[in-house]
Amino acid sequence: MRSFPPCSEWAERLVLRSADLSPQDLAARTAHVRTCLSCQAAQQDYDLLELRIRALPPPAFKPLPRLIPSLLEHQETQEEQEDEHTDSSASGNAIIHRFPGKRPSFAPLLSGLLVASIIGAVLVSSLLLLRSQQTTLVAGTLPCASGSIAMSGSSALYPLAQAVARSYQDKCAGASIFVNQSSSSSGLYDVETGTIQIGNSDIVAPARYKNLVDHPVAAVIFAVALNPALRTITNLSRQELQGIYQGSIHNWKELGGPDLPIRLFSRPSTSGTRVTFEQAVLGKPESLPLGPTHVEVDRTDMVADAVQKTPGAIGYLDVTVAMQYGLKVVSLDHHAPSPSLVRSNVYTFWSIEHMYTRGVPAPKSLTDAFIHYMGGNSAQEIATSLGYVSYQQMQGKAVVTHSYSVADA
Amino acid sequence: MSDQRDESLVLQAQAGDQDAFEKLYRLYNNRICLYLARMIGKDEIAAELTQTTFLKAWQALSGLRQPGGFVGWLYTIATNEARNYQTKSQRLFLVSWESYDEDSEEVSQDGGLDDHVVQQEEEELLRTALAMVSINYRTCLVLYIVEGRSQRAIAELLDINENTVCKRIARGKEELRTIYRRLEHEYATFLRKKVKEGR
Repeated sequence: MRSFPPCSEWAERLVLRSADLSPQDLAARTAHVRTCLSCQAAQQDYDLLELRIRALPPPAFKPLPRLIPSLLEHQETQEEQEDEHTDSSASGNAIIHRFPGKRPSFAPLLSGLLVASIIGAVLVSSLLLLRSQQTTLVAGTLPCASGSIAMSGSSALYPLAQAVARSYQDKCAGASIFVNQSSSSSGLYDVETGTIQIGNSDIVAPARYKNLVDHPVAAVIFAVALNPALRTITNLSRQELQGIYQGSIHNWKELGGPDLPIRLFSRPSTSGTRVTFEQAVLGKPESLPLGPTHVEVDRTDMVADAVQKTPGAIGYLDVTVAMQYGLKVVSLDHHAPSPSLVRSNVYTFWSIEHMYTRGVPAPKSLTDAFIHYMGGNSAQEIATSLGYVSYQQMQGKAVVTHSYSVADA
Repeated sequence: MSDQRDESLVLQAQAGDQDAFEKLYRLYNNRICLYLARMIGKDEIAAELTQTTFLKAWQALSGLRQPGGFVGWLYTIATNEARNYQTKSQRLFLVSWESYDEDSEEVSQDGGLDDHVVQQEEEELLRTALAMVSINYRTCLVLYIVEGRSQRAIAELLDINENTVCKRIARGKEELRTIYRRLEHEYATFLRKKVKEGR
């Protein structure tokens, strides 16, 4: 491509389609381009780029064919219960408004409480009474709150969050819980800024998130996993992993394996899994530059998929997902990942999974009810069945030593 | 006709009719997904952001005073989602050239790349370059190039002056051209270096 910009007086007319120009402008442009090499080159480049952008394949990923119906239900109820959050991203200059649903809005009442202190006590009592009518008890001690909340963050916690959310919704018909996965850092940011109600994280929130309240829910066991064809590699020491992740070990034959280049699949620095890997296993940050043999991928399932399909690949991820994908899970310093070795902290590549809320959830709100449910026996049984270690079974000392975090920016 | 249909659906949705909003989702989710995919250059993230865009639209629907402006408003939310994503991740700009050269086995014997690999690399360069154009220019550029809208239609959609649209498209195209040329040069230099190193 040529490097000269078009003449400034023609720049705007040069980019437009013929149909967007008047016949006079079109004729004038054509005449000018014939004689101006810079504009000629620019127009050719613009046309070429436009053609090639139009020829790009359609997106490989499609959104869900339908919005999750339950996601839209009872939105207004939750908004009444949760603190009102503003979000500048919803519109260029608008905040997220309360939806004008059929249920009565308590917002005016709340304002009235602040202004009319004389009748405050009466109104508060009324308000609590009204709210309590939205919370029912089923199955013994399970508080069922209605409304809609969203959570996102750690992809390592995603399977558990999703399963427990489903379990809660099965029992509480009026509850709608949307679970998404991104990264621990995104989850923390999103809950701090009020985009979501619960932020899932593998790491402790950095001090800059001053409003977040931690609800530890389980321990997740991570593993170093290899492409299934690397059958002969059963154990890696910390020194060997440091060598791999610093770039001093390039080929599996150096570790007694086949003559195959080592291909690394890491997570971005926003990932709690990566922070845990660096702090619990490597003892230092990953320093190997990205390149043909070192790639970052965004989520746990993407690591699993990449390691499964790439000869010579190594990655680190939730052990359950690694096993679901049939990856070769290796021992670290001759300790295989297992709940018992995690509980005793002999196997050290694990982390406490946290659910963060912005402030203490409003009593009897869906967020509050769900967080309580998460700590209950049903949810902890689900955690165990999915390969997590119940938080109730974790020893205090081990938990403290695994409270990983990242430095404040 | 479609404006009247949209307006009617938006009014129904504002009255609490979820089916009406679901219809709006079905009408526009693919278009928003394509828009976001070109805005950020990452298909999988675009699909997620599409979902988020509609959820935020639902949450904020009562604040939409002109139901006829729903689609433009939706694009504004999507654009903000794209901006937020790029601000937060900043990963787009941290990818090294080497990450484009992921499969050494596909380098042919003369040191060049196979045709299909070259095509994929070029597409990736193009996506990346487009996603690096200033966001105000990029919004108009994507609507103009990808969706094939006229500058007047873009002006109406985004509720901005037609001249502004024209300026943004012009500046966006030149910016895209400059960025693409730079990326192309850097990548070619990288490949030459690799070949010299005897790959």
